[in-house]
Amino acid sequence: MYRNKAMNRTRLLRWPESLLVLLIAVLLASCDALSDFGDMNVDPTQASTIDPGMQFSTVQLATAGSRYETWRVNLIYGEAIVQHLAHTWWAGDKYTFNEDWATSLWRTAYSGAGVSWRAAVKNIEDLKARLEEAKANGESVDNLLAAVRIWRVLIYHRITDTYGDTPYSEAGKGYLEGIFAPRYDPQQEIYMDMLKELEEAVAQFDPSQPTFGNADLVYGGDITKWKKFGNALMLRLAMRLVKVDPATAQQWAVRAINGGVMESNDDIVYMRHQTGPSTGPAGINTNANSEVFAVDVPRLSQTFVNWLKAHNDPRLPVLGAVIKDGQVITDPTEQKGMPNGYDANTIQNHPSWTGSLDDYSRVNPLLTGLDDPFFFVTYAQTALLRAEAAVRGWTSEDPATLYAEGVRAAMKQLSLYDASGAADIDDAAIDAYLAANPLSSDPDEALRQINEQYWAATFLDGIEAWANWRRSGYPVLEPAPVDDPNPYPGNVTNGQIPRRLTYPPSEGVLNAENYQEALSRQGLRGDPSDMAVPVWWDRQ
Amino acid sequence: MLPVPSWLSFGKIRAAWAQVGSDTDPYMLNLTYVLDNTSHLGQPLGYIGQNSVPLFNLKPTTTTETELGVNLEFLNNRLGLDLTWYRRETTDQILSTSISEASGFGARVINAGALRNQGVELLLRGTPLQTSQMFWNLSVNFAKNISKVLALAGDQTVLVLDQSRRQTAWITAEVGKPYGTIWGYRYLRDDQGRIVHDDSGLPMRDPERVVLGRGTPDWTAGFLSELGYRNLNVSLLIDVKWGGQLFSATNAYAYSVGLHKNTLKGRAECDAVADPINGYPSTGCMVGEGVNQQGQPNTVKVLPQAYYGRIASQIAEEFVYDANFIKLRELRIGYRIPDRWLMRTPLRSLTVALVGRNLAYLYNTVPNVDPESSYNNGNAQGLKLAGVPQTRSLGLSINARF
Repeated sequence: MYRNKAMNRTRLLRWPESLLVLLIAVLLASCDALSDFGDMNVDPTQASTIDPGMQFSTVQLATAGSRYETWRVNLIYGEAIVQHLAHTWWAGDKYTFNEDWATSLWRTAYSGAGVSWRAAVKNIEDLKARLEEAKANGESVDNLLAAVRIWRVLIYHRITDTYGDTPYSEAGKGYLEGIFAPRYDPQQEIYMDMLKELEEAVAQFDPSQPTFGNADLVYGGDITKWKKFGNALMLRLAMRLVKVDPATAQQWAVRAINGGVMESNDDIVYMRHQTGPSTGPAGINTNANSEVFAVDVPRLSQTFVNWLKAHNDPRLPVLGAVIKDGQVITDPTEQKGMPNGYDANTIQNHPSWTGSLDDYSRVNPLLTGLDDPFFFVTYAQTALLRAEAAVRGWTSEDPATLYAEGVRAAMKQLSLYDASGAADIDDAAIDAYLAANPLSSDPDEALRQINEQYWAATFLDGIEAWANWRRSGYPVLEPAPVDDPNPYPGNVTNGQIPRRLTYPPSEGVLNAENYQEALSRQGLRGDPSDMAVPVWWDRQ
Repeated sequence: MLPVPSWLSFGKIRAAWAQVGSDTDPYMLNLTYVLDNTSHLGQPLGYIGQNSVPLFNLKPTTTTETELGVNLEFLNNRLGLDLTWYRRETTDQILSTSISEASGFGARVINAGALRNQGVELLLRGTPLQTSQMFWNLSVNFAKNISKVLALAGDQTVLVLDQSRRQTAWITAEVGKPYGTIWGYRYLRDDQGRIVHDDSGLPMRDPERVVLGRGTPDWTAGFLSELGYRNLNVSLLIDVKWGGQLFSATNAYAYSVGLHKNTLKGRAECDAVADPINGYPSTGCMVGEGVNQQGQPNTVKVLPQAYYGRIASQIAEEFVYDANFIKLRELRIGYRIPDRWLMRTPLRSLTVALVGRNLAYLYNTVPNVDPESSYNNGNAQGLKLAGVPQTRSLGLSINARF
């Protein structure tokens, strides 16, 4: 046995050396073929490109929001700051600081943190870049690109209104341009660019080219409505500037109105939702506010309820309800708002306390369905802003008519919450209300009325309600805790109503240079007290 | 033949040089889109699902190692020594580094600079006692590794490897320093080292982040003692880890909710004025020790939850601990059934043993948490949060040979 093995070994060695060298050379040469990997690096389970329509639909839904950031910024901060809603543990009406909550919209919008990385900014920038490339290649994508540009402004204006200077021109381009630490553009530059973008986009629409069609979840691709939306958004942004730069505000407001803004509730920009299947904190199909209301029960604010009651507003039975012992009571005389700024202990010392939190009105179940709509920009808001432009003498339109139009539209739009008509407000009630509450001829009083109506018309859109309150000064809000001169302990704004939210501190590590520049440019310190510092358009 | 003394029974010198490349997960080169399972109003949904920017020309990591070692046995193999010195340089590491979320992504894949690890490993074995009935083996192993970040990608000097959920501490790789330093916020102090409080009476933090410690240990060691008497065998294993630090977010959360022993300080004053129904007065009751921003002693009354909550959410320094420990890793008592009892059975040998693992910490510098629990399973050691402690196990083992 051993001898044969020895003989086999020597037999191999008898091969001519040249043959062995040739064998080894052939093997080494074939290694070269390994440098071309072919399809090996292409992931077969993911798509390397997608239809722009799919991405646009997703971005629209992402902007409507998921429970994660909507709970934290739209409700806990926005709606409580502006005194639409109140809750015992929400930070917004106590002016306390919670880093996770305050930074959530920023992180979610830019990178999708908290919502499975399905970010609005990242995807809109990618979509815009791909469409611009397609256009450069001669494809007919003008309508798609124009819609994308308008939607992009919608996304960014909510971020900058809430946080101040923020990455804009360099944002979302980690992959596209390798920008890993984007610059924080000054808000003034952002606003000027957004207005320019809207103007150009509205002019870019071309009826002869294809549209997004049904992939556009908001308008189904209707170009006429998109143009009106673009101008309505332009009007909204223009009015933001009335404090800091009235001349520019006037210029752009007039431009927007002349370009043609919304004309009826048919033009409302809103997202229709479904009850599923994607639900929960990162859910995409459902109304984000309703997702919150399914697990958290805020109460209507005393400020809001008292205002509605003072004018016999027909909206109170539709917006609020007292739910006790399984009964849903919408009668305005039974409804009661909870004062802002109180926690579970201190609320019991307030004169309105009658023994239970359930005695206070909560959001009416008509508005808390998972498939209820979310309103972005409405005809009511547009009409009211036009009324304000008229009061200021920028246009020759009749403010009283526009005011009445706006109020009527705000009341009528509630029917979109319930197909069976339970949320409808009939014309007779609206006529009676308008007759009892006409627009004053005194300009200051008129501005107050217009913006109080705007406030009521933006119920559940905390981000917009807060922005308009800051730029207009109306309604006049008493800093919380209301009916109590002592500020809430632990508040970070010296008892004043917050004027912005703060950046994530990780920016100080990962984007240190730009972050520090943004802080010093705006007079911020990089700590929670920054919540009291107004943004650029919020200064006289 | 070299002349060697009679007490040197075995000797070997070895040297090695190696270079290897290593890869990473597949599909990290290109951007891909997610086709969502759900649709909305009948429309399909799709989006960029990656949170990490892919790198098209990603290179493999190259590691080059030089090793020198010596094995020596003395006194007829009653004493043995194994000593190794190594030096390992790793270049083009494939790392994920955190980037600004405003870029649309939270991280990107890079090939990063150069890292050097060098150190010694020592194993000392001895059999102090050996007779026909008894033996006693002892062995001690010791390892010390010194790491140094030689370079990072481009002209970057700091690479963030991981971030604590409290967003006050980070694990970083900084050029010129060991890999994995703990970097975070500390208290703002005046020239005399007193903590500065703000106008609401809460402690302030120094806006400048500093190195607070190192996530990797200075050295590790183990000690094994095995004692045998006839068929009985008792062995003991002790692990030692020394010289590193860790940041415990668990202790930080314990401060926020007032469960940490340190939060009792100041509560006595509050308990004295507490109302049985409403609790602590909302105007505050404890005074933080230190000065205010004008340099005068701090006198502002605050609530303990606000005070300790501020420390927990802003200061990392408070929660960085030395992570030294000595642990009784294993104790094993075994009995080998005498062969003559097995003569009628098909078994050749049968050993029964009681084994206990992770029995006790003989010395531990970290309060309240298990220093071996882990927060992540990546390269960034030194952060701890809500880690499940290691389980202590006691068992019986039976070993049979047929």
